[in-house]
Amino acid sequence: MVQAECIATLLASDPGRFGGVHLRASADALRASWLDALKNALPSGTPWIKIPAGVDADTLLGGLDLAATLAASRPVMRQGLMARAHRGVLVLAMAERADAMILALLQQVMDLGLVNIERDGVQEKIPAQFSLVVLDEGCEEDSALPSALLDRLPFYLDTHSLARWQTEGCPAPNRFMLEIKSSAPDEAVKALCASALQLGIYSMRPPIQALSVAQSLAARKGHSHVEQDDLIEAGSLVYAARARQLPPPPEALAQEQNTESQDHSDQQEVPPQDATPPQENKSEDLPPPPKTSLPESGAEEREILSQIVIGLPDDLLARLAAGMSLKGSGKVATTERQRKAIPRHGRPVGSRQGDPRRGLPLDLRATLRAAIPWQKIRTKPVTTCIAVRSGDLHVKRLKPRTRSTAVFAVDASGSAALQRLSEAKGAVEALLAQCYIRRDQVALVSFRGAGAEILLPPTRSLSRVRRALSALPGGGGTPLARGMQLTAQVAHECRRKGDAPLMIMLTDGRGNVALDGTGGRAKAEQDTLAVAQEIALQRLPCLVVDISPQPQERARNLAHALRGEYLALPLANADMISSAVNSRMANTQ
Amino acid sequence: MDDSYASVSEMSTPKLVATQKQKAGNKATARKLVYPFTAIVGQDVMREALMLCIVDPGLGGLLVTGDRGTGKSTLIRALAALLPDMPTVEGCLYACHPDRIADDCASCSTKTASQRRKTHLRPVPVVDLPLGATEDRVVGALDLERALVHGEKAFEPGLLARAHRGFLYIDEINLLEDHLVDVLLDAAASGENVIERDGLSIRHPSRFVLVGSGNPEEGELRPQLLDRFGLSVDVRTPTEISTRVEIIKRRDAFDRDPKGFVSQYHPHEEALRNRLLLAQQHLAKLSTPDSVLEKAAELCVALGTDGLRGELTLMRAARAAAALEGAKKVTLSHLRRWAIPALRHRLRRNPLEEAGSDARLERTLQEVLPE
Repeated sequence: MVQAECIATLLASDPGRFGGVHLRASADALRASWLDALKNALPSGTPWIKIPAGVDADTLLGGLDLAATLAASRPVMRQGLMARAHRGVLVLAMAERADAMILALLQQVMDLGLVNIERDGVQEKIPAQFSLVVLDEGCEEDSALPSALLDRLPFYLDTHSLARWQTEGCPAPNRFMLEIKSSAPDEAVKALCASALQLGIYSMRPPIQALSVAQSLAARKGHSHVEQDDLIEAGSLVYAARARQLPPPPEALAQEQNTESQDHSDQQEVPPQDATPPQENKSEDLPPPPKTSLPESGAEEREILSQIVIGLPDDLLARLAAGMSLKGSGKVATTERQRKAIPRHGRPVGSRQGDPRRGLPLDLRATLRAAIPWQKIRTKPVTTCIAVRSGDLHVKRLKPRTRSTAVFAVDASGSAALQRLSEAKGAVEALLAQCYIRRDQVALVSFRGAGAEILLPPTRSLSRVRRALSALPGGGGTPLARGMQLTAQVAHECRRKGDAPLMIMLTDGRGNVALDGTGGRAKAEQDTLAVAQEIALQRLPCLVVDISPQPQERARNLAHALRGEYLALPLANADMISSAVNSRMANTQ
Repeated sequence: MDDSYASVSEMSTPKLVATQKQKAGNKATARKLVYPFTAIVGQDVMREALMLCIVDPGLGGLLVTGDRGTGKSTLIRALAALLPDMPTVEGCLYACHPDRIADDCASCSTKTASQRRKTHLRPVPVVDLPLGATEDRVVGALDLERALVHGEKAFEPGLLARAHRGFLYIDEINLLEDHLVDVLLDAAASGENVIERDGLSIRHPSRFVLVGSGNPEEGELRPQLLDRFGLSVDVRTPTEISTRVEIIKRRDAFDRDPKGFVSQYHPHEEALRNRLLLAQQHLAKLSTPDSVLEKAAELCVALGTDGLRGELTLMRAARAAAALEGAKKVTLSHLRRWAIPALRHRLRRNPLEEAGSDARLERTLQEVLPE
C-alpha cells in the first residue's frame, strides 16, 4: 500500500487517535483529492473542521457566546473549533502563515486531549481529541513550522508521495474500525527505539507514535502481536521524514557486531550539530555514551532499519549523505523576539483590558462586549444606553511591524569576483521579486582592494538595484575585516530604524588586507576575528555563504566567530542563494 | 454552576448537554487516571526538584526548559495524584488551613469561630494556566452567571485563588502575555491577590508554587521572570536505549489499561507520599552549619549572581534536600548537588560564552567546592 493511502486509512480508522499529518504540498487538485479520499474514508458523522486563515484564539478555543447569552439571560458557551473537532479531523490551512500563539494552542490541546477554557468569565474543560491535518504550502526547503508542532504529528506527506499515490490510481483508503490494539513484544519496542536513534531522531514522541501505528497496522491485519512487517511499515511512515542522519551501512554494523564485543561507542555517529542534544550538557546522572546497537536481536533491528532507509525519499537520502544539516526549522525568530516596551503602533493582534488614556487605541468592540453582560446590575432603571464602566475598557494589543533588511556583503576581490558578484546581483534581484509582499529591503556592500563601499543602501526598488549593480568592478586584495565592519554598520542602522536586519556574507573567509589598508595575512586575520567578535556582541543575525568551489574551514570559523549560520553552497547560483536568504528573512520577522 | 447551564436557547442545547456530561465525568475520573509520578522513567533532576518544592513550598517554584517530548508536562500533572489531601476550612473559597487562617481571607472573616473549626479534606490543587486565558479568569472577577441571572454582584475567584496552597503550572511560559506575567509575578511575590475592578475590592491569599515550562528557542524569558523561579532545570531526552525502551513500554501499558497501571504503582506513590510528609516535618529540625552557609555565599560571590535571592534559594534547596534524605544537618554535598539548579538562571549572560552558563557554573563549582 502506498504511504498516502496507508496514512489516510490509519487516520480514518480511529479519528483523533493519531496526532495528525504534516501535508506539504501546494493547494492543487492532487492535494484536494487526497483530502477528499480521507474525508470519504471517515466513518459517517465524523467531524471535519477547517480552521480558517487568520483565526483568533477565541474561535479556536471557544468562549462566551454573547448573542446567545443575552438572549438566554445566562451564560451560554460557544464551542471552539477544537472542541467541535473532537474524535474527528481538524484541518489547518496555510499553516506556514499561522500565528505562533495559534500553533501553541493547538499543541497544548493535543497534549491534554481537552480544551481548557479560562476566558471571559467562563471556565470549562471540553474533550478535544482530534487528528490535525496541517496544510503547509511553504515553498522553502525547510518547513517554517515550529518543530514542537511537527514533533506531535506522526505522519508526513509531500508532493512526491501524493504523486505516487496518484499514479497508482488513487486507491481509496480502506475502511476499518479499530477495536483492539495488538500487543507489542519487548523486541519490537527495542527495535523501534534503536532505529529512531540510528536515524538521528532524539525526541521520544516519534518512537511512541511509531509503536502506536505498528499496533494499528497489526490489528488491521488480524495479528495479535506486532510483527516485523508492521514495524517496518510503521517505521517508514513515522521516521522517514524526520531522519537527520544516515545509519552506518548494514554490513558495517553486522561486522562490528560480530567481531567486537566491548565498545560500540565509536559507531555512534556524530549527528548534525543542530539536531543533537549537546552531549556535554547531559544531566549528570545519565549514564555515559549511548549504545545504539543491540547485542541480541540485532538482525531484526538491522532489517527494519535498512527497510526504512530504502523507503527514504531520494532527495532526503542525498542530503543526508552529503552531510548537509537539515535545519531543525522552527527556530522562530529567536533574535528579534526579545520583549520590548509595549508597542504603540503596528497591526492589532487582539485586545486586553486597559485604559486607552495611556496611549493605546481603544478597542470599541471588545469594550462593548465586556460591558454588555453586566447591564442588568448596572442600570437601575432600564435605559436604552449601555453603561460602560472603566473596568470594561479594552485597548488593542499591537504588534509592531518589522521589516526585514537583507544586507549582502560581497567579496569582490581576486579571480572569483566576477562570478560571485553576478550571482549576488542575481540573488538580490530574485529576493526583491520574491518578497515585495513582505515589504522587505535589501542592501549591498562590496569589498575589494583597500576598502569597502556601500553599493546599494537599503532599498525596495528593483530598478534602483539594476542601475546600481549594472557595472561592478572586481579584483584586487581582500579587506574582509573592513567589509564586515561596513556591513555591520549598515545592519545596525537598519536595526535602529526598527527593522530586522540579516547580514549575508558571500565570502570564502580569507582576508588579506588589514583594517588600516595594509597587506599581510596575519594582521588581516587578526582584524577579521576582532571585528567578528564585535559583531557577535551586537547580536546581529548573520549568514555566511561559502561559494568557493571547495568549501573552506575558514569561512565556517568566521561564521562561528560571528555567532551566525554557515552555509556551504559550492555550486551556488542566484536562485539557491536567494531562497536560502528568503527563508531566513521570514524567520527574522 | 453546573445546573444553570441546563436550559438555554434551543440552538446550543445539544452541545451544552454534552459539555456538561463530560464535566461530570472529568471530576470523577480526573484523579485516578493521571500517569503516576513514580512511574516516570529518568528525569531524576526534575523529579527531585519538584520533590524539594513539595518539601519546602517557599523555595520559589521551578522552571523547566529543554527538549521536546521529554515528559515535562506529564511529570508536573502527575503531582495532583501524588500529593496528600490537605485540610481546609469547610466552605472557605480560598481553601484556608484550619490552623492558619489567612488574615486577608475574605471568606473566613465572615465565619464564626465554630464554623472555622469545621474541616474538610481537599486534594492539593495543581492548576493549569492554559494559553489563551484572560486576565479576569486569572485574578477573578464578578460572577457572570449571577450578574446575568439574578442581577447581583458576587465575586468569582479565579485561577490564583484555586492555586492557593498548591501548584500553578504554566506550559509554554514564554508565550504568556506580558500583562498576565505581571499579574502572576505580583501574586507570587506578595502571596496575595488584590482585585480592584467592577466596583469590587477584594483581597485573598494566593500562595502557590509556580512551575513553568518552556523552550528558550521559542522566545526568551525576561530576567525578572527568570529570577522569580527558585530552581531551574534543563531536561534532555534520554539517549540510553534501555531507558527509552522502558519509557515507551510503560506509556503503552498505561494507554492500554490506565486503571491497572495506576494501581500497580499505588504502593510506590504511597511510599513517596510518606517520605515527603516526613521530610516536611523534618525540615524545621535541621541544623545548618555555618561552614555550609559560608560556602554558599562564597559560591555566589565567585559567580557574581545578582541579588541575594540566589543564595537564599540555594540554602533552602540544600535544606530541603537534606530533609528528604532524613539527614541531621545540611552538608556540602547537598549544596553541590543543587547549586546549578538554584543559580544557573541568575547569571549575567555573556554573549561570547561558548557553552552557555552551565559550563562556567560547573567550573566555579569545582573551584569553590571541590569534591
